[in-house]
Amino acid sequence: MAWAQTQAPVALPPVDVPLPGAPPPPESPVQRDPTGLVTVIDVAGRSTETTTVGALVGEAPGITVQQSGGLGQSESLTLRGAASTGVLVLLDGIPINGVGGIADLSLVPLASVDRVEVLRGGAGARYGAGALGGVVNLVSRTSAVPSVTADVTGGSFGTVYGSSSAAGPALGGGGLVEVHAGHSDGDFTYTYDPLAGTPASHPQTLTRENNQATWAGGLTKAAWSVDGWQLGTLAQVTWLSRGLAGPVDAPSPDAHQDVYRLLTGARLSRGFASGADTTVRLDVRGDWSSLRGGFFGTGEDDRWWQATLSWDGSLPVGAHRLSASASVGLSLANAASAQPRWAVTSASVQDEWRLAGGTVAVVPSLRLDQAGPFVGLSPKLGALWSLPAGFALQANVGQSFRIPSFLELYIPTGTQLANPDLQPETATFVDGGASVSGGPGSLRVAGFAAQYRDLIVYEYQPPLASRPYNLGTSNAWGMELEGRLQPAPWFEVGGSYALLFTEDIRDIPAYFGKEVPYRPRHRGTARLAVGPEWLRLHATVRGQSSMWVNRTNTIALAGRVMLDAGVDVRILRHPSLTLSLWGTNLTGVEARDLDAYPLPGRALYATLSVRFGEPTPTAPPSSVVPEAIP
Amino acid sequence: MNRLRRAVVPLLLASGLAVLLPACLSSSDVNCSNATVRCGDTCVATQTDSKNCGSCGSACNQGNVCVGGSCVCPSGAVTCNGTCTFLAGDPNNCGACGNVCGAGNLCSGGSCFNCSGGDGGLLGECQLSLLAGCIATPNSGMREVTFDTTYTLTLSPVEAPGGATFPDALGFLGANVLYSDHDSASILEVPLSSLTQKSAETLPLTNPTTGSVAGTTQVLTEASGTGSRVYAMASSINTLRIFDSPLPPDAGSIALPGGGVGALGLVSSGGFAFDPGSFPEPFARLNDGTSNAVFVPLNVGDEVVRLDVTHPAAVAQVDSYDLTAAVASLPGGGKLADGGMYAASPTQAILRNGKVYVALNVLRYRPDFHADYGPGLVVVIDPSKTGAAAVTPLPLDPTECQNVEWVARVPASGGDQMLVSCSGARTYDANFNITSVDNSALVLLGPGDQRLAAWVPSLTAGASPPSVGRAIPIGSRVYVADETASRLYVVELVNNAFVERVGYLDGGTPPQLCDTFLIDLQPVPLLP
Repeated sequence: MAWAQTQAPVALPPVDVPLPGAPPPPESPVQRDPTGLVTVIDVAGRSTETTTVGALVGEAPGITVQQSGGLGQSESLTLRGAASTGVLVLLDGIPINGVGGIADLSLVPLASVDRVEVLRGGAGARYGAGALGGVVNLVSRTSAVPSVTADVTGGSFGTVYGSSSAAGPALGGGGLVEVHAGHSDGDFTYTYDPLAGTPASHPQTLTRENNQATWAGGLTKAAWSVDGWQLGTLAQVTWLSRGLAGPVDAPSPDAHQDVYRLLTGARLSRGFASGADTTVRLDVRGDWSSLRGGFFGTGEDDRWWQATLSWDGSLPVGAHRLSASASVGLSLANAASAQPRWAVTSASVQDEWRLAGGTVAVVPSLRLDQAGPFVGLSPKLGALWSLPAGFALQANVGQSFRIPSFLELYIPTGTQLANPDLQPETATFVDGGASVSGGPGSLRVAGFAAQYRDLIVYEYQPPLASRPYNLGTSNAWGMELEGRLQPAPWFEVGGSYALLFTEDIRDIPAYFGKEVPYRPRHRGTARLAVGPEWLRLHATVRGQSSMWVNRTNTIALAGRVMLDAGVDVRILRHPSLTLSLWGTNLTGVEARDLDAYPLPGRALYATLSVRFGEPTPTAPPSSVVPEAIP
Repeated sequence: MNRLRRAVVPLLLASGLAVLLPACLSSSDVNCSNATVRCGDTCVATQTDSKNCGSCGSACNQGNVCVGGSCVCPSGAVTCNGTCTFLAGDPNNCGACGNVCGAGNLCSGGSCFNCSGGDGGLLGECQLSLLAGCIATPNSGMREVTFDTTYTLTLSPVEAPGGATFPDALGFLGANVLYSDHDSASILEVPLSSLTQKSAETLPLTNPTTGSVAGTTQVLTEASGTGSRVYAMASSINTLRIFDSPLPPDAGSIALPGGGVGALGLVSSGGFAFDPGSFPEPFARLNDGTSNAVFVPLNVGDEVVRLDVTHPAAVAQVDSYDLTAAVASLPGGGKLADGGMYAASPTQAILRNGKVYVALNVLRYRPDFHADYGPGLVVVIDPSKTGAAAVTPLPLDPTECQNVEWVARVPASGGDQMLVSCSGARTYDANFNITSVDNSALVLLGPGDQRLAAWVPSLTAGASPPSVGRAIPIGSRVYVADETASRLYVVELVNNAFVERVGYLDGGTPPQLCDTFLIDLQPVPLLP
């Protein structure tokens, strides 16, 4: 059941096409930013290809995933060189960035996500503060037809997880309920040799300890249609309990974190015969995080609540489509050291101006955001030129900003101090792309440039602490390539590549002109899926080049290329029973990320999935290039 | 209660009362204890106060101090031409009144040394400079601290080679600094003659499989055959790195980049990896023909390990010494009032008279990263014994000494004496700035490890409380780093007693070596 709107069932033609008749919800970047460079990645149809949402999000060009290693351990994103605090992540339009400004994708269960939409480039004009590098919108599961599903997966490192869902008519409308749970010991082995390269080299094989995770949660959605109004509700609960193993040079045997998250929302929307539409929504989000052991001693507890009432509306006026939005809300946190309370408001306007017979769209937009004592404007100008034969050109220029988080401003964590004098970070960007789509596939190439200013960096404050300051400034520029080809239903190939240059232009000689750490120059994926629906083989290669880990660019982590592959075998048709055998990092590459966090080696899994009900309409293919809005 | 607290406490009480009860008391209501008299609005101990000696406003001058209400020369000093003089270190009265050493010469131990003529002095007294490593943003780097024969200190500007970030530790190979750079986790070779230059050779200290930075805490150079061997303790990645150079330890300055590459030719020859997370600290070196070992304190492990470093590529652990029993031997069994145990937390080891002396913090960290401190404790390890039998606790007076961070042998005593830096029980504010320090002192131990003397840094109103850090004895002087505010005090050992030469006494001010934090302080080698 679609989140925003009901839809009449559509008889799908035999060829694979995007879901017809179901316009994206208002928060979708496809809808909200018509000139933006957006990548859409199917998740629901690929749940037997990977264990984390982050791995799939990482297939969008420009995204780099930063991992702590192991299922249930933290995963965050950088985008076009912007840090993880500058990537706004939404779940059905509800921001899920944490109290420190970072979105941890390990808190988003794979079972709950239908697809991912990645909008690259500063998106402040359409999504507000926090989107310096772009926006990632996770779209929760939906079901167009009544069904009951269940799946269970078991595999390496003591991993077992499962989910079950039911969708169908309910309470006069339609509904979906999904529950999931799982556990992973995370006890993979890794090589430890701090004297590698010296005559005293002595590699040891160690086992990652205190790296376990247990999680559970559920999602419920419902939708009704009453007198032309569409009413939808969403509620998601997540619980994650995990050990925090720490870096291998200073492992923690007992640091632990428990996280609880509640997301709820209600939406009321309507389309009018004039082509206008209006949507009112109320979103409430609560996060509880509890840290124990290790450096956290007897514990640090943080609570965070956000509630937002928002309105979106659009109205066609001649060659223009005028859009506006407004919101008012509260953001409050409770920590031992501080209990900040903020009022949060926003207002935006956009004009989608069609020219040249509708083939050219010029889209200026402007958004005003206020959060606590901070106020900022995010302007943007975009253009889209739809050419014959499925070709299109897009270009955007604009500015975004990020308000410092509660953690950075008010709430010290361990030896990371806070700084109430922080100011917002800002970004100025420009990008452009050329694409072709239609028939068997799509292809897009894009280039971008951005400057990030007043970036918040933590400076060492000896002897124990670090403190954030607005001291960072950097440039980023590069090229993005993505494409997909599906000449027949049983053959699909696709991939992406990003070339990223970064430059630290902070006025300290040791850093000036150096590359920004943890931004690999090259990153790409390639995926192949072949076979009929009842016997499908798939393989994905993910690679990235080496990357500096320090600001003087003298220490680097090696690049890596990993292979994931598997086979899905449908054993029964009615009900649908499928056995999947798959693995990740099948060549057993040893890799590290962040500060001395090893990544898991070869992992093998088996999944048994059952589905009762009507066949699922074919999901949109991954990495689709959005069609030009008619 | 030490002398400083006797002087300070009444002042603190007076100022505290003035803050708390301004409406209740006026100056006419100040009541002074039997040991003090009222001078203005304060209570003064006229028996010992050099500015009010015997009566209000009677100041002692010409080097006299106030004893029993009279101005007299300090113990060990004599009167030369009406001025109190220490004959051991006065270049104008060296060994006797009127014996002048001459321009550029040093007086030490009552003898004159011609330092400008290359006279190194009997015990290195002509070593006239220190090198301080500073962390600050900006202004990270090194600065040279030079001192003349009259205790006048001169500070050079803070400098660092291009591209360097702040230092973790400093060492030397001849006339070249081995600068352990933090961000690059590598050792840079910097000629002392030009601290802004470096050779093209860098020595990586990082863990290459993880990319972690080294967090070096010690760089030690020693002769090795006709060349040198350098030990670098990369504490954050739990490794001891060993490098060899064909150049001898007293090598001259390397050529500057403009005139050639210049390098010390250091190559990695091996090392040792400790257990992850054990955090090894500065070690003691024993090479007496029988043993070729280092004794390494493991801060997170409460033990000292003995490594045989005869073969750098095959360094082996040959013994370990558990320190928990030494902590348990303290009053109260090494426990806090709530039943929790102190951790030994060893921070440094030295070799003295054939034994290994280890400084112990003795503390328990609280969840907020502050700590509860136990009594001051040093342990003595006898290398001729093994395991627990080798360890002997050496407790110190807890009312005088807590949180031992450094120990140093006094070369001028032939090693018979040892200095113990008690950094004190500290409290911090929310930004981890030190707000108070209790029981911080520099303690002098004699040949039998008996306490001979203790010195508490002087303080003045408004100054942050000092915390005694690394002490560097040179001749009869000791240069003492303050860990609170990166100040440098100078004291002199006279007849087994401390005499403060540079501090807040007599209206002076100890120089501040670094804008933010003093990370290392090393004596600059005296070269032929």
